[in-house]
Amino acid sequence: MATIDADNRREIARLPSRPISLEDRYDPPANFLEIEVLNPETHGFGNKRYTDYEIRMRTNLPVFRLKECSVRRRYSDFEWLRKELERDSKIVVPSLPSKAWQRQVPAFLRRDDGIFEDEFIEERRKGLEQFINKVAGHPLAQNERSLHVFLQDTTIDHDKYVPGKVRNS
Amino acid sequence: MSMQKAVDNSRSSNAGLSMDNQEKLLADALQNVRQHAFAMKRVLDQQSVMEGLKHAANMLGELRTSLLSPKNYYELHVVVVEELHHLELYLTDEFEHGRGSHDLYEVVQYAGNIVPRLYLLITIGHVYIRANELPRREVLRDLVEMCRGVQHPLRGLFLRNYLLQCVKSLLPDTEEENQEATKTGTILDSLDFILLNFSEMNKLWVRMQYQGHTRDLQRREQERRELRILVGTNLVRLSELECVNVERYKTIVLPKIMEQVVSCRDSIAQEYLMECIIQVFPDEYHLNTLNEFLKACRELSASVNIRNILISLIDRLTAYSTRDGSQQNIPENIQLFDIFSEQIAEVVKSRINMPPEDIVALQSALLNLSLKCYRDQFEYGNKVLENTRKIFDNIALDTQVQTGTPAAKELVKMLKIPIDCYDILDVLKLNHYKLVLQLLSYRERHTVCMYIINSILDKETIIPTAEQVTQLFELLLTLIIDQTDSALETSRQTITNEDFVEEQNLVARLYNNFQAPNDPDQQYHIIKICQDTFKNGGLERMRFTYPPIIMQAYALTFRYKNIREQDEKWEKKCQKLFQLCNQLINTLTKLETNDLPLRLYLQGALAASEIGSENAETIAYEFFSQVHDNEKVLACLKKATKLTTQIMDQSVQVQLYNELLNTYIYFFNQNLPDIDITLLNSLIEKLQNEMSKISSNENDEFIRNQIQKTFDYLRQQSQLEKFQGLQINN
Repeated sequence: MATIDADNRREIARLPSRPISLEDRYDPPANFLEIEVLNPETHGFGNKRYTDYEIRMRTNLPVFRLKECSVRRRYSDFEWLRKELERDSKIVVPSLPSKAWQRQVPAFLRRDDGIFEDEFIEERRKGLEQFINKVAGHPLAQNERSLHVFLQDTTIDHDKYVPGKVRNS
Repeated sequence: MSMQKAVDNSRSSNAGLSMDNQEKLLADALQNVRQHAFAMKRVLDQQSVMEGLKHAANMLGELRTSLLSPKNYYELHVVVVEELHHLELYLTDEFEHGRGSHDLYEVVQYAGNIVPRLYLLITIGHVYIRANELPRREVLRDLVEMCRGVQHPLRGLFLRNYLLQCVKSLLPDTEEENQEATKTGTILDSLDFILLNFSEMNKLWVRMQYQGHTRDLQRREQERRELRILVGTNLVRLSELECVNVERYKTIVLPKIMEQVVSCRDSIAQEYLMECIIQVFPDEYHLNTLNEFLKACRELSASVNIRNILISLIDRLTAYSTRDGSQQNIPENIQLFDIFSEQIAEVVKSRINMPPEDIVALQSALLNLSLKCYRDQFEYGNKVLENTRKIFDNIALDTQVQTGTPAAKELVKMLKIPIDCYDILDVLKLNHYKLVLQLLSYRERHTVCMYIINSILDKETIIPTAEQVTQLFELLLTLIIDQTDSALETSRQTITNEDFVEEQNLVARLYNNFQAPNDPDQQYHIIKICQDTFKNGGLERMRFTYPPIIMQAYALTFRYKNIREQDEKWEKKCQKLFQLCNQLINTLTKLETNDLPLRLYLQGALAASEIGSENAETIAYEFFSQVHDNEKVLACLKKATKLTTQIMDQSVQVQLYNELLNTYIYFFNQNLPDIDITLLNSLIEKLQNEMSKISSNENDEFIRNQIQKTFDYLRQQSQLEKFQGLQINN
């Protein structure tokens, strides 16, 4: 009787299998990362209005100091992040949803509420969520301090901020 | 751990899961499968194996999808496996005719994609084993290892399930190697195979929990539950191996299974697999591994519903121990009660958030075990009841369990168990039963009491001593006297309320079961107990509960009469009984119905006259003279007459007429208005007519004599002016 021995054929040779520990078998995978962009709120009055969003993050990646956090960020903060990453990291940073210059024409010249229109805010929210998830999931971006500041510091203190790298915490 | 790109769980990736999309995806996939299958069958008909394998690989490619929900993937899988069967039959057929190709096992390993590759490998593999082309042991080993190549949870689960199905009848089930074909393998190889397959499948199954956004968690968990049978099949397969015995189960099978179950720390897996183990393996195995199993229970994840697992096991073993009506099946050295009692205590201690209803449910299972396996040893059942009470005392001393809560429901269930298992006389031996009953609020106590009475009546249990009656009344107190916690209910406890009527009727019927057959004094004692108990129940209840006492008392007087030779005090005792009845009927007259007391008086009079004791007449008169109001007297008498005409038994009827006549005479002598000679005459005539109809045996002789006495008296009186116009013939 023949055997299944495939020693002659490298292509179909069997690889030695290392047994995995019980923890590794059943532990939740350590690549869990979920970021949601929610609860847009418009602050201020008249010309001084701006909209910001809640950035809620849950993760078990070792590189992030906090495993759960929630901060508020506005569009310009996203722009700042993008700029930092483009300069310092080697990744091709995805684009943000549009700046919508047209909508920023003075209110009395517009028929609607410009950038404070609900539909627009929702569109922007979706775009920002896609952006931040893509970015935060990238290992190279995870090494940039700007990302950690953006996601996990309560406010972005531009005075104190110094660009740099982050290793596993 | 390697750096993996984080899973992109943004909203867009869930687009594929919309219902319509799923339907379309499945339909397309099925169509492709059918097409490839058709092509495969066509070339196989032309004996082109390689072409056939190619089409088969294409068909199997549909199973590489990530887009289908588990339910739909299953649908697809079923169809694919069906079509693959054709390939299998073709190859088998070829070998049977000596035309089989010998290199296919190697050839298919060059297939480009792993999912088709492995399905083909499994298919060819088991055909080759059956055709003796390749050694069984080696191939089985190879296949179960190679399946590691698919780590995607859904695809991996179905692949390994396919493997398990294919090798179903191929797993070696012998102690030793078969000498001829030395590489068939033994039972130990089968155990390795299945246990490995099981642990890999469990791993994949648990991994599904993390596959996706947290917002879809509930859906994922539901999908996991739908797939659980895939994992459970491994355990079923293990149980089907004949060479697995208690020893192997204890040393190899169970520890390996438990290792996976405990360390996976996943509550869906743990709940299902523990239950599966209990159901799939024989009770004998469980009896011999109780400690191991229960220890593992304690180590389960905190959110696992341990209650159901334990109860499942206890109930199974209880049933096993009493199968075939014997209690022999459990070996002496296994003290089931002690083991479970201890383990339940440990479990409850370790799970501080266990809700009270779960604790009660566990105690119930334990109680069931005690009553069925240790039938005549009441201390076990008592212990459980006592512990249950203690548990609630520790939560809140002297506080009732709120009505309608799950805990209350479980307690009711628990209290029904002894009633179902035993007759009431044995239940009364469980003296801690009432401790638990007291925990309940009015409504639940009421339910239990009704259940108890119904059980006694259905089983026709006789309660023969006053002491047992007392104990029983202690339990049934809720129905007997007004309860402090039934404020709402008390107003509805009148005869206009159907439920109240039903309830009190049941209580009344209970008296028939209070019988001390050879001991009239005991019976008397019982009657006194009943009276003492029911006098506190209030008039509305007495309406129902007194009459049976009275009737029993009358019946007792007859018994005393029968033993008058042996008991010289019999007349005194009868008198006491009649006095008692008098008292009771008196109370009843406060109720608005007129005929109830009347009927009872009549019965009394009848009894008294039958007894024929010294003071019988006095007693009889006394009964009748209880009616104080003149108007009522006449009404009563008229009613009495009417009732008497309806009596069927001739001799009884005649007797009653006699009594009636005497009563009329009595009131005539008292100068009651409306009672005149005419009335007397008509009654006399009636009596004379009826007298001729009765027989001339000894009993009736006695009656005749009584009537004669009455007539003699009347003839005497007829001389008086008062009795002018009396018509009495001879």
